[in-house]
Amino acid sequence: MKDTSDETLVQLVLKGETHLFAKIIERYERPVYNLMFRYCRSEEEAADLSQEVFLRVYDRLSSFNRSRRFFPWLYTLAVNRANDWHRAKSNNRKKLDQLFREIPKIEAGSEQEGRMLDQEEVDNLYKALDQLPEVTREMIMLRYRQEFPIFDLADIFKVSESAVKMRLARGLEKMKAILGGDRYESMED
Amino acid sequence: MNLWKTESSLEEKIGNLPDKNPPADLRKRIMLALPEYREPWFRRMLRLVGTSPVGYRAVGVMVSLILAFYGGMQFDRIFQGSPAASNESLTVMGDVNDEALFYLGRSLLAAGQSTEALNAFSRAELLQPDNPQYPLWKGKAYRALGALDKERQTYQQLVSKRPDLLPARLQLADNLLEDGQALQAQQLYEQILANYPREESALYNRAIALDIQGNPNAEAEAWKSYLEHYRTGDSASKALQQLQDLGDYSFRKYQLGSKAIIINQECLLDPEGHNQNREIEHLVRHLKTDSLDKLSIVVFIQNDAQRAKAIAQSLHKAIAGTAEGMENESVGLSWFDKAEPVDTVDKGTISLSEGVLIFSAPQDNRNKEKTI
Repeated sequence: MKDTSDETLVQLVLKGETHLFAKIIERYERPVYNLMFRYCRSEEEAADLSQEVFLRVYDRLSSFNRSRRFFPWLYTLAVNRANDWHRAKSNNRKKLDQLFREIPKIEAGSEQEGRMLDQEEVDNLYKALDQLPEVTREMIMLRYRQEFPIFDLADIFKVSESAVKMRLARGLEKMKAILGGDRYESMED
Repeated sequence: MNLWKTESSLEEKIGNLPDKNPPADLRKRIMLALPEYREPWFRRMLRLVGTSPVGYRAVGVMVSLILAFYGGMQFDRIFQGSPAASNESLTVMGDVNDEALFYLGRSLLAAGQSTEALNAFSRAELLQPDNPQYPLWKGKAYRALGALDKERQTYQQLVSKRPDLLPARLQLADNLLEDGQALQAQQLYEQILANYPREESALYNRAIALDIQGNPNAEAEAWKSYLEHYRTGDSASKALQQLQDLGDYSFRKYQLGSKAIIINQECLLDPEGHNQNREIEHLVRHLKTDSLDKLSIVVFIQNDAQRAKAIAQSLHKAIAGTAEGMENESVGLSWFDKAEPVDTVDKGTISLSEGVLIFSAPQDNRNKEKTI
């Protein structure tokens, strides 16, 4: 079952093997949770929003077009939910902005500990990411953190591939400017 | 096209950004909240009847029956509609256990259905009155509904029942603060800090409570207490800004290459003080993690060049002593017997009679050999 494709799992869940939905959650709870956390900056709220996204995915499984890849479809639902949340909460958030906001921290003992950046650098990178428009930020995270191909990003954000490339390039340029000029060399042009 | 890099590229660093681990119980929560999957009726029927002519006839009969039934329902709704019908979704909860109600409530709250969420948390609390999570979340549902009084009452009851419960006291203090009861909020934060001196949100929000009360001296001390413990991230930057807006420059931000770090300047300027080492260690930790150009230390002591020089040299010695392998030529020292001019956020300038500047540019790698 470990190597079963997403699409097969979806088919089995649709046939009544509901328990297999746990496999789908296991595969994608991390990126979905982190997406939500980047929007709301609260662990509890991110968990609740992630739960809601998976319930919505479950609810709409029968409308999933099997000729598409599953994760981009799921992620599209998650991005839509995050944007809805953002719109609904923007007024509230302004009011509470002066109150303490939770900051992403490196978790001790995580699997990335060996290769991780130090906390200052993480903070600076997150701050720079925070200054980008949300769609650009998410494109950058999907491209370089989740290693999504450009065409998947175009599919998720409903824009052309060249628009994705342009957004990525502009986003990285802005981040470099925020982080300190020519310190960073580009790996792909 | 650049195929080379002299250090980790930005893309690579983004790729290595740490993820947050989702809560361990997230999967369980979702599975618990999952309704039993029901195949859409049209698919089920198509699967059952196949494509035979008999099947088509069966479908026809069933569709007619369903349409007749649906029509009857609509008629009933239009002409005999009852307000109780709108609450039908809530009565479905039936014999669900407290844990399921709790997760359902959280899901409803996240979806913006705060009234239904409140109902679910209240029922969970009735089923399991000893679980403090339920009233805590009931309070959050009240908050989402804008019922600050009810929220506060919920936390107050919880605090009187479980005075040891930190989240309840924090939520109560936050509620008081948001409700404009800054003094009561501040007092509660003080109580929390007496037991948990490093509690981050209590340290931060106590300063806000003092700001609202218009007590600048105590507010400055509160921001300093926060910065003693927390120096990174958005909140630390905001705390520093608030402190400097009050005219207090005991903490300052120093640019070391691409990073800006916050340091207690008062400690740096006091070579005899026992906290100087702590600040030097904090500084050196950052020096070690980045490729930096020459480090510059500039000390300003108004009308006292000798003291300015002594402090600059002692800082150099302390840094070199802590940072192994730091060569003399990699540190530049300057001192002045003048006050330090500092630009303020509102484009003004103030003078600090005593000040220290520490800065370094990122190492310029452009002329280094490029490798493929």
